[in-house]
Amino acid sequence: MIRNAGAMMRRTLQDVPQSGLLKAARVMSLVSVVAAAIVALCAVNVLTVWPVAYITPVNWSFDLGCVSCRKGLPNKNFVLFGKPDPNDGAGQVEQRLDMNCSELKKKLIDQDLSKCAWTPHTLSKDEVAARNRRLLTPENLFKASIRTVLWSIPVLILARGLLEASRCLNGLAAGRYFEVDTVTHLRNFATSGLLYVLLSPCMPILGNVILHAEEAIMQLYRERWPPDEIHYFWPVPLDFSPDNFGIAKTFSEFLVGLYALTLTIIATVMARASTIVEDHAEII
Amino acid sequence: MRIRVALNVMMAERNVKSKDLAAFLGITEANLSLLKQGKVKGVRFETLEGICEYLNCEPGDILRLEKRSEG
Repeated sequence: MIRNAGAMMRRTLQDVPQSGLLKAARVMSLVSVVAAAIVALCAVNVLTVWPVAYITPVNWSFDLGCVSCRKGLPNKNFVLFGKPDPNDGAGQVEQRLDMNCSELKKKLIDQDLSKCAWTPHTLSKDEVAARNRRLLTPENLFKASIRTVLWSIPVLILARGLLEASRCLNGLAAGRYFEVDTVTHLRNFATSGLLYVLLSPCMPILGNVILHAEEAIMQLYRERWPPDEIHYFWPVPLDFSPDNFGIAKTFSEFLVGLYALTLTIIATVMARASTIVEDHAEII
Repeated sequence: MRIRVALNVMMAERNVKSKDLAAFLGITEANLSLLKQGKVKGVRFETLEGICEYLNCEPGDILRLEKRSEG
């Protein structure tokens, strides 16, 4: 059956007008290179923009960072009053008070601090947790880096696959249908697509496992050596979390999987066919 | 592989030149040389028929099964 499939494929390829085939292969090769470049640029963008967003004060307009009340230290709550510097956007600490949250609440009532849009008493638990995730701390930078790198791995694999597709199409354009190089490139393309589809849903899971493990370790660390440093709030765009990039959950992702599987089968048939062709050449 | 090609012997016995046999079979001398050395993966019935016809022999005279060495 495989021999027939190989012969049929070869006949089909021979039937296609050479000039049309060459043209199509060259165009597809170009498209693949462009697609690979775009995908690679996306990965590079993610690799650079996300960590930068965590360390760059981009939007002070929602008064985040105005007041911070540390939790976990009942007698030593730090209260910070800060405001953005209009020149460079960096936060400036105006005042540091050693008081607990009740005292802060009283002070806020006594004084008209309208510039402070929120206090720890007005925030829900979820809001506090959400804002704490954006603290400029080494832990958060680590988390951002882990998420970014894990998201980038499948994307870079896809970019490599597209480059392989380009090389394969170049081989076809040159008339090297069953040569080992062409088939290898096609197989690499298919494998990359399959790896992309398989790895994409696994990476968030892996990321969660790593981050939870890191969080547990940091929790143990904090319990043993309670931190006494002051945390500054550095806001980042709310919708910039890597969690928003859910992969392999849509129909298009299913189609990509189907495409990769089909290509894998074709590549396998072509590989077998090229072996048969080589064997056939040794029969006198 | 235990199949041995005895084409060399048959050609020598009949004093047939490689060039003439290759031309009769429609294959190159290089391929005939590979066939004589047994360095091919198979022989077409068509080729075998041509060889037998040219050398006036049977397929069994050209192809022999080597016996297994004991021990």
